[in-house]
Amino acid sequence: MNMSEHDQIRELLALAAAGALDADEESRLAAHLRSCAACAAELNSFQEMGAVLRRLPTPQAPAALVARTISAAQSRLAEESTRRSERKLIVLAVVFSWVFVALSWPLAQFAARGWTSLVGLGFEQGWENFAVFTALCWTAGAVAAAALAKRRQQERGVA
Amino acid sequence: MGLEAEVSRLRRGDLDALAELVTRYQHRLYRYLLRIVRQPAEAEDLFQQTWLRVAGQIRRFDPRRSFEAWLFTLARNLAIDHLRRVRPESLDDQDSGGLGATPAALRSSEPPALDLAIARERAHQVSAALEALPVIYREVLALRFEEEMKLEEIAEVLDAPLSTVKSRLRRGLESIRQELEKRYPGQEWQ
Repeated sequence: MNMSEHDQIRELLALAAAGALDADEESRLAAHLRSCAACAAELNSFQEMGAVLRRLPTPQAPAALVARTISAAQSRLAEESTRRSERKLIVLAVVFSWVFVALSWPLAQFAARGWTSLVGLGFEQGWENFAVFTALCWTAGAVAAAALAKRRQQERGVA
Repeated sequence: MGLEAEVSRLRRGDLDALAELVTRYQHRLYRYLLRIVRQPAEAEDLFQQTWLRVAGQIRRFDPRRSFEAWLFTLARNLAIDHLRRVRPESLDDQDSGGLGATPAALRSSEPPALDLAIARERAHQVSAALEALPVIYREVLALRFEEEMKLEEIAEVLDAPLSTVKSRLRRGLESIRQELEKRYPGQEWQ
């Protein structure tokens, strides 16, 4: 018998019991086992160990642990969900503020000056007006964000 | 209800789906953690931490991947970090405990008597030998034989190449056999 082939095959025996051989290795092993009783016996030994490992009793997770875990994880999930909704609301408030500023200034000008407002943006009427207008819009956004934060604080207090 | 549907509901924030998944994996996840850390109290703490992490990170989970592999990866990372903090020596490749270190939770409830069935006695012997192995072999054997994971999934959980998984599987089984031969000389395993 070719000893080096025998030694190489022996390296595969444990892996064969673990179902971890590729097709080529499996056919080499099968061919070798037909003429090597020692390797066949060793493979049986590993397979028996593998079978016992698969049948080892499963330690049971204590019921109280599972109940406690479900409760804590559900709280975390709900918290994450609320946080995500609030993030979305704040982004919406910011976008709304910007869109409101961009759209309402020309509309306000139109209301004040009629069709002549279409000739220009009306900054010649005074950039201070525009700044005050923008500040008002942003204040509205900030109030919305603060209201959200306050509500969250209250919810935490209740929980 | 199927696993995929439960995971999909969980990703949408469904609290019931979370409870169903915890229940579905309760014993398997606990067993895996116990195999790694060997102490029931530590395994319980890690069990809870794992599910808290699932709840916090489920939106980052890619549904094209295996949920099971992702779950066990989270659990493993927490357990390894825990061992690194608490018992760094247990992460060495060398034998960390010896056969005398088998924890009570993993031993059979009674010592095997001569009149017990051979299968039960062998389970006790293999369990003890398994517990004597270094963590890198314990976990790979647990994932392959107890969790019945595919090699590719194990590689994902361990964050290691397939060749490493195979090498650890082989060495793990060979080490168990050596432990059994050392402890029960002359006993046939066929």
